[in-house]
Amino acid sequence: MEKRGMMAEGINMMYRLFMVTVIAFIVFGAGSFVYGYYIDVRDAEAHILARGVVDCLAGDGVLDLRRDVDNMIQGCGIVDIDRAYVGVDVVDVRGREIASFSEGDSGSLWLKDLYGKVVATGNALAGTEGLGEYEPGYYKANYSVVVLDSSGRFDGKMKLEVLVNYADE
Amino acid sequence: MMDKRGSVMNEFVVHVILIALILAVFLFASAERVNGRNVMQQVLEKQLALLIDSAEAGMSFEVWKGNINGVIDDVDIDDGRVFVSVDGLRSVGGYPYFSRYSVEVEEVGDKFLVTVK
Repeated sequence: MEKRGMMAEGINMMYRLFMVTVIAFIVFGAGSFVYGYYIDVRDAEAHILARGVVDCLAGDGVLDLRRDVDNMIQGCGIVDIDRAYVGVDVVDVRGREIASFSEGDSGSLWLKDLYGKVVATGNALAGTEGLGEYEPGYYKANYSVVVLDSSGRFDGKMKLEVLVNYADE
Repeated sequence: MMDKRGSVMNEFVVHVILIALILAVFLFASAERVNGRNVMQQVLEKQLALLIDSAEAGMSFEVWKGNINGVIDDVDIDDGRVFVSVDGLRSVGGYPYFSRYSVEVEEVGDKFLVTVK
């Protein structure tokens, strides 16, 4: 009888310890997830990547569209382009589209529109449309360039859009 | 009667010690993740990746082993990723960079020389 009782006590103790371990795992796991420090450098990466692409495509201010347009960004040899999306629209001075090409994960733009926007709310930003919006890892810029294509040489603009995704940590 | 009280007390003490041990293990694991070497490693890897991304061919920069973010044991470049070991913590995933140039790391005395070619 005493032996049986000791065994039951042992099983009970193991059960309690197991429960404590499970609860501790959940509490500290959630704590480490919530307070885990992630340093987001995607904004800086997007700026640097944009500069790299502009230097590669139109380093001297001349964008030559007589090359294979679809592989122009690929030709820049950017490593790990799957983590980013780079889109380029070339327009003339009247805004007419001359060429459009991109590289990387275009689906991430759709995801950005869905989830990626951080919007400041409240009355402080009332009437200042767009000011309170912050899109992490997203960079958009226009560059004035001289465009070279089969029709000749003319002034135009290169509209660059870069989005950098999280690196798998 | 006295015997039973003693055994309950013993059991209680053993319980408390074991529970305290389990909590301590989880607490230290969480603390390590939240403010420990992990963050220092993240800082160093991301700083290096951004420096590599910004660098032009022919540039090089030095990373001292005795760094403000800890003692750097190793800096490695593999498959477009930067790996930094800090205070004995080895890097598992590293951090990727975009640079189109080839990058090399050389250990020179008490620093690492990162060269972008």
